[in-house]
Order: sequence, then structure tokens, then C-alpha cells
Amino acid sequence: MRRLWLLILPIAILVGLSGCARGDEIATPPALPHSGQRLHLERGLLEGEQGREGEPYYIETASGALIPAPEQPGTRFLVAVGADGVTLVQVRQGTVWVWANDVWVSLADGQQTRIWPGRAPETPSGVSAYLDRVTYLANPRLGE
Amino acid sequence: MRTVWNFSGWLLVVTLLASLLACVPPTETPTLPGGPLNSTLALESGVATASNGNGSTRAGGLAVSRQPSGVAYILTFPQGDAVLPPEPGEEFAFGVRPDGTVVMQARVGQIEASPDGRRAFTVPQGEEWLLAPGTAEVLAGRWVAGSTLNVEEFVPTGGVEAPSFIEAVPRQEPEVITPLPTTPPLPPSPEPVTPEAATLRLWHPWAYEPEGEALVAAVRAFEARYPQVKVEIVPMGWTGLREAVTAALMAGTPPDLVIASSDDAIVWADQGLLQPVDDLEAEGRLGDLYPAALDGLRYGEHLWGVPLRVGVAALYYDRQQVDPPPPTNRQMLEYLTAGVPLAIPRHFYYTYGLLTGYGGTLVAPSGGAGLDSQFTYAYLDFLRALLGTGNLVYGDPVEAAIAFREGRVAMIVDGSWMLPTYRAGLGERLGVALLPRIEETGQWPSPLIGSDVCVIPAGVGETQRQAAAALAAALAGEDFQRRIAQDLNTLPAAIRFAQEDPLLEAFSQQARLATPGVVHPRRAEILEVGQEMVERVLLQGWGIEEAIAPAAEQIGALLFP
Repeated sequence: MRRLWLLILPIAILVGLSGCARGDEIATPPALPHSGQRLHLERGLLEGEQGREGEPYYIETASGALIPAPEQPGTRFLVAVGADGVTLVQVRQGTVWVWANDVWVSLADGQQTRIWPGRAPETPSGVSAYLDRVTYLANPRLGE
Repeated sequence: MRTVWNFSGWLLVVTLLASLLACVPPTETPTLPGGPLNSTLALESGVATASNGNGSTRAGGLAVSRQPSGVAYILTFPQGDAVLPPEPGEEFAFGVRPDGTVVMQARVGQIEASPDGRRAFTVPQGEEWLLAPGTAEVLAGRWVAGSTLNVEEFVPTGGVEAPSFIEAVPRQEPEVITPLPTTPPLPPSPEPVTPEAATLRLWHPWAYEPEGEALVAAVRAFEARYPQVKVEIVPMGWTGLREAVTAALMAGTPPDLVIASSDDAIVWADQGLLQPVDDLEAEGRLGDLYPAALDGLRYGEHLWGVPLRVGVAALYYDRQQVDPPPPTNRQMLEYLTAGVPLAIPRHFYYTYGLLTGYGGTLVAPSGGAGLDSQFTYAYLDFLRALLGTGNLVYGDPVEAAIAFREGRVAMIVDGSWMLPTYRAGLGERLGVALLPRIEETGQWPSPLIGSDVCVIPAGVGETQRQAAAALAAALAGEDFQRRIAQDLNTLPAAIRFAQEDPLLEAFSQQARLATPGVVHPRRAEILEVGQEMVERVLLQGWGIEEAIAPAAEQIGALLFP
């Protein structure tokens, strides 16, 4: 009987792991938008809060990043494009997908990523301080 | 054994539960408070452009394919204003300065305030508004087509100390108080050199055009100012003038001043029959003229004439049949598909702007022939699509003009010189719009510009030349230029005098986007080759690539024989 459990146990663990893998696949990134409502941020600071209604939109930045409208109402996020062309995306609440150079990353509450022109998004990291208008205008170089 | 059984059993149960939980799709995001009804995007600082590439909501009032109810987002600004996103095909630009002043450009379509903002307003298409914090006053002016917001003005690279508090605007409708000048004021014009006593012979081609009469009045005013100068005016028709001037230039007995086409000026300059007028430009006397018109007279590192009147093509439309006009090429195609007819006269001149909007050109930046490109392909493909709707009248310029005047077509691409004719025919129904922006590239078309110009023949002596140059500069000045705009209702070469008439102002905006295309003594032949290429595709069933290749080769041979 003991041998039987020793046989079943690794199988059960493998089943569990494969279930986890399938779970990850479910959180797939949204389709890449090509048309529709587009807001192109050339340089500046934009704060967003996702509503319950309305057609989809996406934000495009000068460094080539795309941020589709979040799916979850109430998602609050921030997009900034610096004078050095670097894009910064920070998420206060909810989940935000960011695309650049054929790579998607997903940002959860309290996470941020930066995108240098022509490059993929950085691996998400924790937000140390949310950017505000005064701080941004004092030093609009976001890659430093 | 029992302990092992118990341990293994529980472990199995826990593992299987974990597996099952892992199989359950995870909640995509944590549950959040419901969020507002509409999405909001707050532009705290900087520059953003809003556009909508969805299908059209309106094609002459015929087609409606609106997106689901609800707007995509409300765009808000730190001083309390808020606006709705663009409708399909529309494009707006916004900037927020460090002090909270908002700039709005209604590039295509009109910007509507959102009820979420502190006040109601509409920025009409083609206008640029400045909305400062803490005041109901709004400065409104014309948006110069093609101009963009300078990001340094909104977010200086070196950083700037910004106020932490931005005062809200009052809850009342804006007071639109001061139209902004669309053209920066000119520096004071230098006092012209007083010409010495001279008798000038001036030949012009406006014998059968109202410009001839206005010219006489302007010349008499010049003589009154400089009584020591007398001017003999010899009016001719265009063909007669070209032949007479060419013969006189060849014989070495030219008049002192000639008004001719910019194409003729370059032909004569190439033959060494003219004197350059670089000095007038260096003295700052030509600073108010359309840059593209001046560029069309630069050849071999010299400027060969002074533009007096310019010609450029834009989109005329009959408001009774179509309003608004199509702002983009795709919408133009939709209009035609929906049964709104368009006329384009059969000459390369009228469609050249669309070629440039697709990124195409006759002469590559390297100086070689530039026609053989994917951009030319896209341009021809678009023309073919227009023709394929069955609602493009592509024919003789006179027949096309008559079709528009008689209301058989709703729109026509035609030159600024036709404005008096169409105005007389359509009256208040007449509208003029920029050639539609090309959605695939985001670029505005740059149509060809041509001009009637003053040239000074080679061999004119110094005293005569000085007086002739003074008269040419005077004709490019306020008196004659204002007459061209106000009395003759065509487009003067000086930018500022078209602004009082909205239809002329539309042509003025188009002229600011225009290009001479190619400055070459064989320009007319080059354009003919372009037209042959278009006709092969549209009327003779040639493949696009098949038509481009020989045209590019012929143009190359004309440019570099």
C-alpha cells in the first residue's frame, strides 16, 4: 500500500503543477489594438481610471509602448513619457497590460515598468513612489 | 504503517485539492470598487493627440456605423475642463503647460466639452484655443494645418518648477475674447531704396483677367509715390506674352519687368535670360510670402522672381449635398461608396497632393527620381478605388468644373483661381476644405503650388533694374496683395491677406502645406509623364507596377538627360 501512495503522490503533484500552468495561460494579454480610439502621449503625464461603460481605447506613447484600456472597472494607473523618451507605467489599483517591441507584461497593484524607445518593457517591479505632476515637471527624465 | 498511511493519505488529499484549485481559472484581477461610469484620462501635463480610427459615423449623412453606446473616455485637465473623445475620423491635439494652461487644437472635427467638466464649449474645426486656469476668458485662433504643439513649451527637457495648485476655471461658458493672430507679426519692412528717375516697360499676361485692372491701379499708386518713375504697361494674353517675351529676351531687347508664370520663369532662368532677385529677399522684402511659392522660384542657388498670386488645389464642396467634407482619404472613399460624387480634373496637378500624403515624391531626397516606390503604388491604388466606386468624375477640367457648378457632383478638387467662378455659381452653399489627410501615414497632402511672378530680364541696366525691383517689391506689398484677395477673390502670394475670407483662408492653409514638387525647366513635361502614368492605371487598365516603372524611367531621363 505504501508503494502505491509513493506512486500516486508524484502523479498528483504533476497534475497540480500542470493545472497551475493552465491557469497562467488563462491570463492571456489582450489583442494588440490597431485602430479605434487612440490617445498618443508624446510627452507628459496621464492618470487613468477605468470606468464601467464605453468603447475600448488604447494609449500609445512616443517610445512605442501600447497600453490597452484595462478590463476591470476601477483600475487606476498612470502613464508618463519623459523628455528622454522613456515611458513609465505605474498601477495604483487593478491590472494593466503593457506592450512594447513584441513583449507583453502585466502590472498588478503597486507595480511599475519602464520602456526605453524601441525596447521591450522592463520586468515589473514595485512602485517606490507614484509620480505626480510637480515631481515629473521638475525632472522629466524618467530613465534616470 | 498506520502513521504512514495517515500521512500519505492527508498529503494526497491536500495535493489533489491544490491541483483542483490550480485548475480553477484565477480571478483575472482582484475585485475592485465599481469605478466611475465613464473611463477618465487626466492629462496632468504635456502633449497628447487623440484620434479615432473606427468606421465613419457620417458620410454625407448617408452611412451610420456607430460604436456601442458610451464614450471611450473623458479627457480631463487640471484646470477643470473636460472633453469628449473624437468621433471616427476626427483628430484633436491637447497640451497642458506647467502653469495649467490648456491648448486645444481641433484639427479634424470639433472638440466638444464633456458634461463632466466645469463648463460647456465647442472648439470648431480648424481652431486652436488657449484655456488658462482661473478665468473664463479663452483665446481663440486658427490652427495652422500641419502645425504641431512644441513639447518643449509644455514639458521643458531641463525641468521646471510647477505650481502644486492650479486654479479651476469658473463654472460658466468661456468668453472667447481675442482671435489669436495666425501669422506672427512681421518685423517692420525696411524703407525701400528710392529709385532714381526711370521709365519702365512692364509686360503682363492679365489682359483678359481682372488682375490686369488691379495691376494698373497699383502701378499708378507706385508712380504717385515715386513721381520720378514712369511705367508703360503692356497687357497681353498668356500665350502671346510667352512668345513675345521669349523673342525679346533672345533678341536682347526685353522689357524691364515681366509678369509670367513660375514655370516660364524657371525656363528663362535656365537659359540665362533673367536676373536673380536674391537682394530683395536678403533685404527682408519677401518675408510675408508663402515659403513654397518662393521655393518654386529657387533654381541653381538663386531666386528668380517675386510671387504675386499663387495657385493651389483644395477640396471644394457643395454644403447642400455634403457637409462636413471628408476629413480623411478613407472617409472620402466611404463618401463615394455611399453615393456622394466627386470630380477630379484629368491632370497630375490635381492629385499630386494625394501622392505626397502617401509619402510619395517625384524627386527623391537624394536628388534622383523618386516615383518608383510603394508610396506611388498606394496613391494609385487609392485613385483606382475612388474610380471603382462609380462616383468619381475623372475628366476634362472644364467638364469637371461644369459638373460641380451644376450640382451633378458634390465635391471637386480644383484650384484657388476657380473660387470666384464657383462662388458665383453656388453662393452660400460653397465650402472649401483641405485635401483629406491620408490615414495610413497620418500626413496631410502637399499639393503643387504655382505662382504668377515678377521677373527682371537679363540686360536691364542698373538704374532700370533698381526701379523695376522697387516696383516688384511694391506689388508683393500690402496694397496690391489686399486687392487680389478682397477685390479679385483669389489667393495672393502674401499669407496674411487671405484671412478675412473663410474660403480663401482654407486655400491659404492649403498653400502653407504646399510644395513646388520639382523645380526644373522641364517641370511641365515631368507632370505630363505623371499624368500619363495615372491615366494608364485608371483608364487603360494597366497594372500599377507596370505603369510606375516606365514613368519613373522617363522622369529620371528628363531630370538627368
